[in-house]
Amino acid sequence: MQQQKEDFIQIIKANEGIIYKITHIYAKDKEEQKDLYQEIVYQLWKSFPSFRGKSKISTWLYRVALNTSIAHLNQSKKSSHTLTSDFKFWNIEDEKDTEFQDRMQLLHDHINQLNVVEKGLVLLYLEGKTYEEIAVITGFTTTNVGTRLGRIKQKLKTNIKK
Amino acid sequence: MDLEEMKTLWTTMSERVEKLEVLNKQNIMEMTQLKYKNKFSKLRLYETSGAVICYVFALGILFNIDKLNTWYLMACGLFCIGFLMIMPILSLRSIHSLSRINLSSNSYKDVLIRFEKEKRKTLLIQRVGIFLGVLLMFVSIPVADMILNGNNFFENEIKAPVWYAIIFASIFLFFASRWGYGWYKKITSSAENLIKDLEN
Repeated sequence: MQQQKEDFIQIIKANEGIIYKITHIYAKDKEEQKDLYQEIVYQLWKSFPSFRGKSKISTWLYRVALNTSIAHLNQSKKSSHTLTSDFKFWNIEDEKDTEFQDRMQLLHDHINQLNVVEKGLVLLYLEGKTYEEIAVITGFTTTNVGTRLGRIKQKLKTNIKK
Repeated sequence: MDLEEMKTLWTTMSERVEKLEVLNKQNIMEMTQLKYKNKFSKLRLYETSGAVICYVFALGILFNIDKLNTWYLMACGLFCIGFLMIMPILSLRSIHSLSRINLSSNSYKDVLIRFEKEKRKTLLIQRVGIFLGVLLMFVSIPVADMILNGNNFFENEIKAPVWYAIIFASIFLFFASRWGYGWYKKITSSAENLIKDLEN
C-alpha cells in the first residue's frame, strides 16, 4: 500500500502539468479548476491499481483526466457545487505580461466554442500527440481523429472570421 | 488565431507550467481527504440551518416561560427547550466527528473502525432524534396553545380541527423522518464506499 502510494505520488508529480492544462481547458473559473483538478487526482488514484502499466502512463492519465472532465462538466450542469480546497493553485499568467494574458484569453475563448469532445481532441493535438496516439487515448479510429480535427480546424476558421 | 498559432501559444504555456510545482506529497493525499469531507458539507449546511430554526423556537419558548403556569406545562416547555437546544448540537457534533476522520495519516483498518464507530453514533443520534421529535410534536401543542392563545390545552375539550392538525403533522413527521434518516444513511454509505475505494 505504502509503495503504491509512493508510486502514485511520483506519477502525479511528474504529470501535474498535464492535469493543470486539462482543467484549464474544461473549467470556467479558478474555483471550478481547483475542483476539477481534485476530482481528476482522486479518479486517477481510484483507477491506479487497475492501471498496472497495461498502457503508457500518459495514455492512462489523459484518458482518465478527459473522461473525468466530461463527467464533471455534465455533473456541474445538473448541480453546481464548490469545494473548499486548501491547496494553492498556480497562476501561470504573469500579471505584468498582459500580451500573454490576452493571447491566452483568446485561446480560451476559441476553445470554449468547441463541444466537450472537440475540446479533448484539440487539447491532445495542441499537446503534440500524433493521430495514432490521440486515437489510442480517445478510442476513436485514426481516420476518425483526422476527420474530426479537420472539422475542428474548419470550425475555428469560421469562428475567427465571425 | 489558427490552430498552428494556438499550438505555439500552447507550447509557451506548457513551458511555463513545467517550471512550476503545484502539489506536494501531502497535497495529493489531502485531495482524497477533501473529497471525503465534502460528502458531509451539504448535510452540515442543512443541520446548521435546522439548528438556527430550533434555537429561534427555543428562545421563543424561553422568553415566554412565565406564561406556562402549571407544573405540567412548565415540564412540557422545558422538554421543548432542552430538545431544541441539545439535539442540533449532538447532530452537528456527530457530523463533525465523521468528517474529521483523517484518511491519509491513519491505517486503513483504523480508518474503517473509526468510521464504523462514528457512523453508528451518528445514526443512533438520528434515531433518538426521530423518537424524541415525535414526542416533541405532542408536547409542543400545549406549550404553543398556552403561549400563543393563553389556553390550557389539558383543561379544554380538544376540537376536531386540532385532531386533524395532529394527524396531518404525524403523517408529515413520519415521511420527513424517513426521508431525513434515509439521507443520512445514503451519505454515510457513500462515504464508507469512498474509504473502501481507497483500499481497493
